[in-house]
Amino acid sequence: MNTVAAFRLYFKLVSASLRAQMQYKVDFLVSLSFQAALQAVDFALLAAIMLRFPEIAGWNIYEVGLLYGTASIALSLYRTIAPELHDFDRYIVQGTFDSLLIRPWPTLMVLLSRNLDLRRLGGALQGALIFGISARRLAAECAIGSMEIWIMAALALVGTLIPFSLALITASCAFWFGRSADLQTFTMFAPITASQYPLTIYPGWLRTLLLSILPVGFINYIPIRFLLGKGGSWWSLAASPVAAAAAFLVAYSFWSLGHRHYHSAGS
Amino acid sequence: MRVFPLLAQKAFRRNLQYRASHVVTNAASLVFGFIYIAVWQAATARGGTGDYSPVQFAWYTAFNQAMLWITIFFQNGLGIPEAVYTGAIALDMMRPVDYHGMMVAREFGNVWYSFWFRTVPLFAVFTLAIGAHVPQRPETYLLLAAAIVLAAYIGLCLHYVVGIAAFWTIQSRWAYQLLHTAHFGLSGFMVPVELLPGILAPIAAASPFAPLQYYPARIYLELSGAEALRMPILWAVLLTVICRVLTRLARKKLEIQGG
Repeated sequence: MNTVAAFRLYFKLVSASLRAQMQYKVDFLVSLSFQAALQAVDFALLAAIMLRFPEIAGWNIYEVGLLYGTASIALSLYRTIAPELHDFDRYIVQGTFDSLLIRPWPTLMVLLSRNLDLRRLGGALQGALIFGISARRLAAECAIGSMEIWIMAALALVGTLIPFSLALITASCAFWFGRSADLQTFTMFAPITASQYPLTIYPGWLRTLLLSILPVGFINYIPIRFLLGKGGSWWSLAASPVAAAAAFLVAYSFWSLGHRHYHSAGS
Repeated sequence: MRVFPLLAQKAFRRNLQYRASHVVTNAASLVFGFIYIAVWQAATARGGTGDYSPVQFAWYTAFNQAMLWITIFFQNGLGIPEAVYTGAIALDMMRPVDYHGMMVAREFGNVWYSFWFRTVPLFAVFTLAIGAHVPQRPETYLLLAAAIVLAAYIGLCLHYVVGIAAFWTIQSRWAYQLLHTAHFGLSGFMVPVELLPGILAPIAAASPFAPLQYYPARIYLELSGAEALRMPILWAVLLTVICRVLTRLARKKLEIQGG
C-alpha cells in the first residue's frame, strides 16, 4: 500500500515538474532535436568507418546499428528519468540532501521525482530510428523476423535499468567520497559506449568486465547476438532481464547502505 | 608584460592541487581510447585504407585521444558565461590587462598542466598497449610542437568565442553542445577527415576543428609535412581577429548596459 502511494505521489510530482518545463516549449523542442542531432553525428562517424570497412568482427553495419540503437535507447531513457542522479553529488557537496531526508517518503523516490529531463528523449528517438532502420533492412534480408525485433526493443527498455543501476551505485559513492560525477564517466558512459559495438572486438579482460561488474553487455549484445544467430542459446534472452534486475537490487542495497552512512555537511 | 606568464603559472599550480581526482578522469579517457582503438582494429582486420595501415589507425586514434585534453576539454566557454551571469566579468574587464590575452595566458597554464599530467601519461599507456610511431625525421618534432601549440590555441579561442557569446544570449548550453558535436564530427578525431563521405571531407578539412586533431596527427605519423600547418596557422590568425573583435563588442556592451 505504501509503495502504491509512493508511486502515485511520484507521478504527481513528476507531472508538476513537466508542466513547469512545458512553459518553455520552444526551448524544449530545440533541445529535443539538438539531442537527436548530436547523437546522429556520433553514429554518422561509425557509419563513415563502416562505409570503408564492410564489417566489424563479423557484424555488418545494420547489425551494429541494432547494438547502437538499443544502447542509445537505454542510455537516453535513463538520462530522461534520472537527471538528478546524474549530478547527485551536488546534493552532498551543497548539503541539500538534508531537505530530501525530511520528507516522509523513500529518498530515492523524492530525488527522482524532482525532475524529468524530457529533452533526453531526443537521444532515444534517434536510437529508435537507427534501430528501426537497421531492423527493417535485416528483416528484408530475412535475417530476423518481427518477433525478434520486438524482443530486442523490449529488452532495450528493460535494459534501461542497467545504466540506471550503474549510475545509482556511482551516485552512492558520493555518500563516502563527497564527489561522484567524474566516476560516472568511468562506470557508466564508457561501458555504454563500449556496448555500442560487438563485445568480441575488446580484449578479454574488458569483455569480462562488461559482462560482470559493469553488465552493459546484457542490454543488447548477449540477446542480439543470439537473435542474429551468432551464438548463445535461449538462456541469453533470459539472462538480460535477470541481469537488469540483479543490477538494480545490488545498486539499491548499495544506495541504502550509503544512505545510512550519510552525515550532513552541516551547512 | 610579466603578468601573462604569471597567470599561466598560477593556473598550472591550481591544477596541481587536483592531481588525484584527475587520475579518475584519465582512467575514463583511457577506457574510451581503448574502445575506439578496438573498433579500428576490428574494422581494419583485413587491411587498412587510404594512407593508413591498420596499426597507423590505432596510433592515430591513440594520439588523438591523448590530445583531447589540450585541444577541446577546457572549462566550457573558459568560464566566461558564469562570469557574465554573476557580474564578475565587469571586474575582469576593468583590469588593466588585455582580456583576451589574460584568458589565453591563464588557459595556457591549464594546457601546460594537462599536457604533462594527462596527455603524456595517456600517450604512455597507449604506447605500452599498442606501441607508437617514433618520428624519424628530426624536423617532425619541431612541426609537431608547432601543431600542438596551434591546436591548443585554436581550441581555446573556439571556447572563448562560445563563452563570450554569453553576453548576447543566455542559451550558452547549446553553443557548447554545438562546439563539441562539431569537434566530434569534423576534427577527424576518430575518422581521418579525408575518409569522411562526400562533401563532408573538404568541409571538415577546411574547418577550424581539423587543426585540433587531424593535422597534428598527420604530422605526428609523418604522413604530412609542413603543409599541414597551413590551415592551423590560417585559423589561428582568423580566430585571433574574431576573438578581439568580439571582445571589443562585448566591452562596449558592458560599458553601455552594465553587463
